[in-house]
Amino acid sequence: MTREPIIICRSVNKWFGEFHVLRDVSVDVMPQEVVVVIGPSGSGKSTFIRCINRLEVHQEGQIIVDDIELSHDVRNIAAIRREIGMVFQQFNLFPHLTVLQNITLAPMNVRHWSKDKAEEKARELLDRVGIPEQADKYPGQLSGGQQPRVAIARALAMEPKIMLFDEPTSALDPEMIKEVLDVMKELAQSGMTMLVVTHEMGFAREVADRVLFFDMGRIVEQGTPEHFFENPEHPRTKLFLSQIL
Amino acid sequence: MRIAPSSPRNLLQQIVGFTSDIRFLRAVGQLVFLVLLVLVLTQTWNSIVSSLSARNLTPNFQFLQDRAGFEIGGAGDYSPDDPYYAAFMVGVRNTLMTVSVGLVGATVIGILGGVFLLSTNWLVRNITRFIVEILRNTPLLVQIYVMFFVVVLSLPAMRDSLQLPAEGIMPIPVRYLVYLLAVMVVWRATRSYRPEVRSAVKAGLLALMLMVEVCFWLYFNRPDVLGSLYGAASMTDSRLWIYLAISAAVLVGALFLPSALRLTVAGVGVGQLIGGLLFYFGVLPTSALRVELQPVFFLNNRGMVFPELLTTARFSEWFIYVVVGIGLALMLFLYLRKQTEQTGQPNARLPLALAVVATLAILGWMIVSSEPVPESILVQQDGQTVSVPLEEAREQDLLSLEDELFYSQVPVEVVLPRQQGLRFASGYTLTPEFLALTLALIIYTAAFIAEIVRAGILAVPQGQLEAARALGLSYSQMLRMVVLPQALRVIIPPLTNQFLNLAKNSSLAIAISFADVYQVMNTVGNQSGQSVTSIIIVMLTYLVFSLIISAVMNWVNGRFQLVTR
Repeated sequence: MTREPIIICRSVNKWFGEFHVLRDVSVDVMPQEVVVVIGPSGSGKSTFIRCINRLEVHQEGQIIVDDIELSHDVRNIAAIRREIGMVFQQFNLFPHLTVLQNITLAPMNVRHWSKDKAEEKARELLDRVGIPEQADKYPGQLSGGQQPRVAIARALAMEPKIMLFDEPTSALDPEMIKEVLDVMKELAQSGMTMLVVTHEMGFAREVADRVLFFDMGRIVEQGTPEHFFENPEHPRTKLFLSQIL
Repeated sequence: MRIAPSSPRNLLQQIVGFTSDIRFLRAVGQLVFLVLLVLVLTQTWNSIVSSLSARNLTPNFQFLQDRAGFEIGGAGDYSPDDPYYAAFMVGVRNTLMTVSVGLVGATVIGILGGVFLLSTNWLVRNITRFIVEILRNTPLLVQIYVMFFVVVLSLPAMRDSLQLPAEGIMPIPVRYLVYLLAVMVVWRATRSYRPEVRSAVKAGLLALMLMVEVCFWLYFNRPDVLGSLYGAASMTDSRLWIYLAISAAVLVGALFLPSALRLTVAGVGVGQLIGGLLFYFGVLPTSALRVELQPVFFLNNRGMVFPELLTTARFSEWFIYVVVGIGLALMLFLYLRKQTEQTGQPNARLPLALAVVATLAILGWMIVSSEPVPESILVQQDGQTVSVPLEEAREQDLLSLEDELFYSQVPVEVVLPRQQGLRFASGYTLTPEFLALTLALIIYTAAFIAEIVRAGILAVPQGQLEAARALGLSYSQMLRMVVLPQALRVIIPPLTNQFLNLAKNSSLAIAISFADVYQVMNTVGNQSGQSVTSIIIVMLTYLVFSLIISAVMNWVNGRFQLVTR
């Protein structure tokens, strides 16, 4: 492969107080790659993807995103965050703004787009996630399955190069999970670089280019979905898969 | 299940059915309560009226027309010969002033306090916490006493009033103006530079100014060290070459530093070199502008004195310019905001709009003031009307205040406080009682507001902040667009309570004899015997204040409510 990785992590270490939450995590992610991160709760998988847009600060090692190293330099952090979209487990929509305002807030104030351009983009994205009629409602008026789709549209409005998903379906009814996964599948097929923390093994099997398995803050095993689900090597992985499948 | 028959029943059954109907029972309950309430109130009122009438004190409102006959301190437009209702109006005015100043002050200090309580700085956070706890846990009455007897009355006496600014001549060195200009130019000119170059230039400018200041300080205070160097400008002086050599060494040394520091250190080196040379060649002048200052504010144990602003006959003419300016500024502001919406590019709409207002106000002032005043005026002297030149009339003190305002050349006259013996001949005085009460109310209420603000900001979920940061919003954008709108929703209802508390607590004025509406009406009631009426008037007054505050805050609250399903 001649292309450069868009995300480079080299021996990333992080502690919460005494608790060693990330241990020597080293991963490269290529542009357009879809990487699914799985693992038991408390294994550090959420912390890992939150380090990539510096919602968490790593203490050792190096994280380089799109040729910019994450450091304490605020200009680097701002530049990185413009290029990374994120969808949270609780979606974190802004309750005091309408759906349209939620989506146009960052493009207008960070990218300095005109209101018309931002709204056009927002409506296009709402179309894409299948809820064009909800533009003028407030988040409190949306159903459970509509909220994550707005959150995805909000992140995409900044035209990011990378999308991070932090368990976007774990707070949803089984029926609504499919709606959201369909949107994510469509996004993956369109060539977006994605890092997804999820417990949806079906999604991982179908969409992922690569699966990372985290345990105790370490990447225990990684590989293609076929390898991972059919022939896991590490005993910890086998145990995990036997419990959930 | 059996369905109840809808067939006709006999009359008795119908009546029994009706009396057990819940709607009927509720109506009866209400009616009984109303009748009891009216009975109790009329009985009470009748017994009050009859016992007072027996002493010839039937409650009425006629007595408000009677002569008041008591003094009120600090009210220049009231005399004991005025009727009771004039005294009442003075009380209302004093209460209104305390409450309005108190509300603004408590809000501003309270918000600051709330932010301090959440500060990441350990010292700031804990000192604020300590102060807030003391204020919240001691009685307001005690605080008002302390403010009055310990703080305000211990201010210096009249003849050594604190003055601001102190009377005298202040020198402003000319080089400060040069600095100001340089900073402004550098700030704008380097905007498009790379950030590290820009910070190197800024560091260099800072080093330059520091270098020059150090040199000047030595020049003025230790002439033996650097005295001969200012403006020496000799190319053969060995000290010049030593200095150049050291500076060059610093610059070369900068090359070996890590890349993050290299540019900044080089900037500092160049800056101090230029600063030293500016001093050596005497480029910056040693002279200073001498600004004559007159005291504007006085503070002593008899109160605080401000300048008075008096509108003259020309005020309305000037005011038209100001109104036109505000109108133009508003149009410009809206146009530029539209522009931002359409192009997405931010522009400096607020400063530009303010500049328009300022320009028209200054222009209008100059035009209005350029109209000539009459050469001479007519004055009554020894029973006959004579024409006297204006200047002469002024010098001879023939002009009353009204005349001064009529013949003034400018739209607004600023009358500075002038001390005459043990009183102020001019200026607007705030009494020590007003100062103590208002300050105590502000500080006491601010402690509670600080807690409310702190709780409101903490009530915004952490996830909202993370979402804002993940979208790339800057810290100030996050506060303005995400945190504040959501925090206000939580803050406003308890804030309304504190505002109402402040308004009602202002009646503690009586403790230090400040003539608020309660203190005045207390005196009125005692003196006229109409105590019941007086108390009713006081209660109605506070009711009106509270209703106004509630109405305004409810309107504000409505604007921040969230729409949910």
